[in-house]
Amino acid sequence: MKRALCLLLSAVLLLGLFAGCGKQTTPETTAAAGTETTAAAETETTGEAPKKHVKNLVIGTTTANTTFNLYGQTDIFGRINYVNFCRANWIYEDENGDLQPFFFTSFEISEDGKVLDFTWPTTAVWSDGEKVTWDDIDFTFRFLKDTAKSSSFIHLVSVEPTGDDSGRITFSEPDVYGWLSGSATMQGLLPKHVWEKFEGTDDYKNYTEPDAAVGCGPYKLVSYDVDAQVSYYEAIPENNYHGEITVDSVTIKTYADQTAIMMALNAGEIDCYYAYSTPIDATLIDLISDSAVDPGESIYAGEDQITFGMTRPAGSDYQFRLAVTKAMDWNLLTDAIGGGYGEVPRAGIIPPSCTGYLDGLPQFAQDVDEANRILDEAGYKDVNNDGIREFPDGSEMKILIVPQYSKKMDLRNRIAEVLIDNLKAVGVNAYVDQEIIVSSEVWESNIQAGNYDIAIGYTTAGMARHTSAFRYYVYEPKPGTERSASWLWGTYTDEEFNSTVWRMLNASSREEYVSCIQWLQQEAADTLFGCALSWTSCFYPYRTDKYEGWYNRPSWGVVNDELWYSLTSK
Amino acid sequence: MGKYLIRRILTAVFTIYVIITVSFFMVRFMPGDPLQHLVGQEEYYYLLDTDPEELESIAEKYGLNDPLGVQYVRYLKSVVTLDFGIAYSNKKPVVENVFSCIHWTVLLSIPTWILGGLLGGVLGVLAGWRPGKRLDCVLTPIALFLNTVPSNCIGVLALALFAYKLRWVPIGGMTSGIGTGWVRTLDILKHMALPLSILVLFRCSGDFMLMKSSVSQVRHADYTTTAASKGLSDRKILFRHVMRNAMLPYMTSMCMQMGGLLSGSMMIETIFGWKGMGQLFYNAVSSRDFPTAQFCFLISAFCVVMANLLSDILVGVIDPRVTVK
Repeated sequence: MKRALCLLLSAVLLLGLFAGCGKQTTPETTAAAGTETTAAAETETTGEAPKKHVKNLVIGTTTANTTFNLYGQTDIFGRINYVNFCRANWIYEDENGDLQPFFFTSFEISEDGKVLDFTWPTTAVWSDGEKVTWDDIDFTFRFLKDTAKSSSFIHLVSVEPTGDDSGRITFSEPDVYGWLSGSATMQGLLPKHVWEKFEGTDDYKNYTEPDAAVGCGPYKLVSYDVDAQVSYYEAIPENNYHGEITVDSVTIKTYADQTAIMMALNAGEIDCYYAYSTPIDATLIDLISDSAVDPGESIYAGEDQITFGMTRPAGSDYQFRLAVTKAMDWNLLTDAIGGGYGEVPRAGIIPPSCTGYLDGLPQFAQDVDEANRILDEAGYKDVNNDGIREFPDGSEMKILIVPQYSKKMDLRNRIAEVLIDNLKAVGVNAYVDQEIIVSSEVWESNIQAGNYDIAIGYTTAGMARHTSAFRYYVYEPKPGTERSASWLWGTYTDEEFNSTVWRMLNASSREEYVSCIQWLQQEAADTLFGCALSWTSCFYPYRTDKYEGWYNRPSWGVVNDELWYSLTSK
Repeated sequence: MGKYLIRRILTAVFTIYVIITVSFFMVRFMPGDPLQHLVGQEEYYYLLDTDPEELESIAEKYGLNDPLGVQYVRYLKSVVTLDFGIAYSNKKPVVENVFSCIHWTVLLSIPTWILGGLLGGVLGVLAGWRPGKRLDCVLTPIALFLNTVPSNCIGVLALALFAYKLRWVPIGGMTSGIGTGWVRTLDILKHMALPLSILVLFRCSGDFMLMKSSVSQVRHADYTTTAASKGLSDRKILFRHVMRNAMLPYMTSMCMQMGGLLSGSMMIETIFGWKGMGQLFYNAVSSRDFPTAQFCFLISAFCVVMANLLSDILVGVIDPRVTVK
C-alpha cells in the first residue's frame, strides 16, 4: 500500500514537472527583436540636466496579452497602440482635444477642408531595422482605401510627395478634419514590406506571424510569453517623435481581474494600470492600502444618459420632461452609477472632459414639490383618486422605461429602479418590460421603433471623444443613406437638431465641430430631449514612489501618448 | 457482461449525439444577435453607420445568414472534423485556443483528483471506522465547512491572505515568465501552490464525507460482525471486508470526477488567473463567443459521458450482479 502511494505521489510530481518543463522554451522571440537598447540615459547636449531614464516600466492590465498585430485592435497590443506605442499614429489628441503632430511632424488643412499638407520624419525606422520611406506612406493609404476599405478614405483622390520629407493628401470632399479627429489618432503607418502580401480578400486582421508586430512607433516588441501573459518592449531611440524617449523598456502584464490589479499595485508588482476605455471600478478604489498609490482620478468622458420618447404622449410634452428631471434623485443616481465618485450633471448632456464643452448650463437638482406643481399645471392629475396621475385627457398614463441591453445590464436595471421610485413619488406610474431586458432583439426593435417613454443608454469614452453622446439622439438617417439600414435610436425629429448632429460628425474644421456641439448642448438644455444621469469620475491608478512626470489625462489615465517622453526616475 | 457493455456503449453514443444537437440549438436560440456579439455592440453600431458592407461580409464569413438546416449539417461536420472555426473573442482557431488551455487545466486537475481522492478516501475510512474519535471530531467539522462554503469565496480569501498580505505566493497567473528549465518549473509550482491546495482541500472534503458515510454504513453489517467473531484483527476487517464494500460509491464518485478533469474548475481558475479550460469557458460565455463555448461544452459533456461509461463498467466488474439487472 505504502509503495503504491509513493508511486502515485511520484507520478503526480513528475506530471507537474513535465508540464512545467513542457513550456521551458524561451519566450517566443519575434522578428522585431533586433538590437538591444542600453538602459543608459541618452540625452542631448543642450545644457539641461540629463533626464533620469526609467529602466523598465511595468504596466498592469486585464486585457489579454496574446495577439500582436499592428493593424489589430484586440488584446493589449492592439489597445496600447492607440497611445502611440509600437505603432506611430499620424497625429495625437492633447488634453484639450487639440490635434497635435506625431508621425506627421507638421500638418495643415486647406481652407476647403479637402487637402492635407504634411511633413514626416525621414529618420524614422521600423522595428526590424528597415528605414521608413515614402513608399510606406503611399502604401498605407492605398491599403486603408483599397484593402481595409476604411470609410474615412471613400473620397480619397491622391497621395503624393511634395518634397523629400513632405506630402499632400487630397480628397474630393471636405473629409480631412473628419478623418484626423475621428480615426487618425488611432491609425498609423504600416510597413509595406510586411503588409503588401495582403489583398482585399485576405484576412489581414487575423495575421499572427511574428512580423505582424513590426511598427515604427517609439517601442518594439522584443518577446512575449503567452502562458505568463507578459510581453516585453524596448525603446527605439530614433523614433523620438515627441522628444527624448525617457522610458527605456516596458513590460506589460495581464491579470485576471481588477481586484488582482489593485493587489499588484499595492504590492509594487506593477507601476500603473492601463485598459482602453475600462477604468478601475469605483468600488475597488477603497482597496488602495499603500500611500504611494495614486488613484488616478479624472472626469470620465463617457456617461449614462436618458432619452425621452418624443413621439409619444408624455415625452412629447416639455412640461412632463421638465417634471421628470425635477423628480429625479440626482445624488442617488450619482452614487449608484459612480460609486459615490462623480457629480450631478448639467443640462448639456456631455461632461467637461469632452471637446467643445459648453460651460454655464444649469445643473440638475431634485425638487419633488416643483415636479408635482409642474405636473399639476400641465394637466397630469389623479382624476380617479388612486394615487396615480392620468394623462390630461383622463386616460391611463404608464411610462415605459427601456434600459439598454448590454453587458452592464445590472447597472442600467438599477438606474431604472431608481427612476421608477422617483416617478412614483410624484404620482407617475412607470415600469420596465421584462421581455425587453432579457433579449437584445426585443430591446433593439423597441428602441429602433421609438417604443419607449424613457430610454436609458450609455456613451463610452471612445464614442464620446468625437462622435459624442448626441449620436444616440439622432432620428433622421445620415444624409444620402436609407433609414431601414441605419442605427437610429432617437425620437427627436427636429430638422435642425438632426442636421447639426450630422454636420458635427462630418465637420471640416475644429471650429465647425465646436460650434455644432455647443449648439447641441444648448438645445439639450432648452428642450430637454434627454439628459446625462451622472458625470462620474474614472480611475487609472499608478504608483508615485519610483517615478515622476506622470500626467493623468482625463478618461485615459497616465498611460497616454505623452507618458513615454515625460516619465523619469526620481 | 457483453450485452451489458454494448448497451452502455450505445447509450453513451446516443447521449453524445443528443448533447451535440442540443448544444447547436441551445446556442442558436439564446437571446442576442450573434453578429453583435461577434463584433461588439459599440463596433456593430459604428459599422452599421459607416460600413454596413463590412458587417454583411462578417455575417457571410461566419455563415450566420445561412438557413438553420445548412448550419446544422455544417456543425455536425465540424464536430466530426474538430473544426470549430474561429473564436469570436480573439479571432484564432477555437481548437488552437482550447489546446493551449487544456494542459494547464490538466496540471491542476489530475493532481487534485489523485491527491484529493487519496487523502479524502483514506481519512474518510479512518474517520468512519472509528466514529467519535479525535480524527473524526477534528476532520468532520472542517469537511462540512468546506462542503458548504463556495470555493470562490475561499479562493478570494486565500488569495488576499497568502498572496497579498503574506506575499507567500504570486498574485495569480501561471508563471511570471522568468527563466527556463528548472527555474520556470519551480515558478509554475509556486504559482500553482495556492489554487492546487484549495482544489485538493475541496476535493478531499467531498471524498472524505462520502467515504466516511460508506464505511459507517458497512461497519455494522453482518459480514463485519462475522469477521470480528472469527477473531480477525481490526486492520484485516477494515481493509479486507469493510473497505471493499464501501468502495462502490467512492469508485463511482471518483469516475464521475474524472469527467471534470478537462473542464477545469471555473471559479478557481478565474480567481487565480489560471488560463485553463474553466476560465476559457467562463470568458467564452461572458463574451458570447459561441464557437468556443460550444467546443468547451462538448468536451466537458463528452468527458462526463465517458466517465459515466467507465464507472458503469467498473461497477459491473466489482459487483457483477449489476450486469444481470
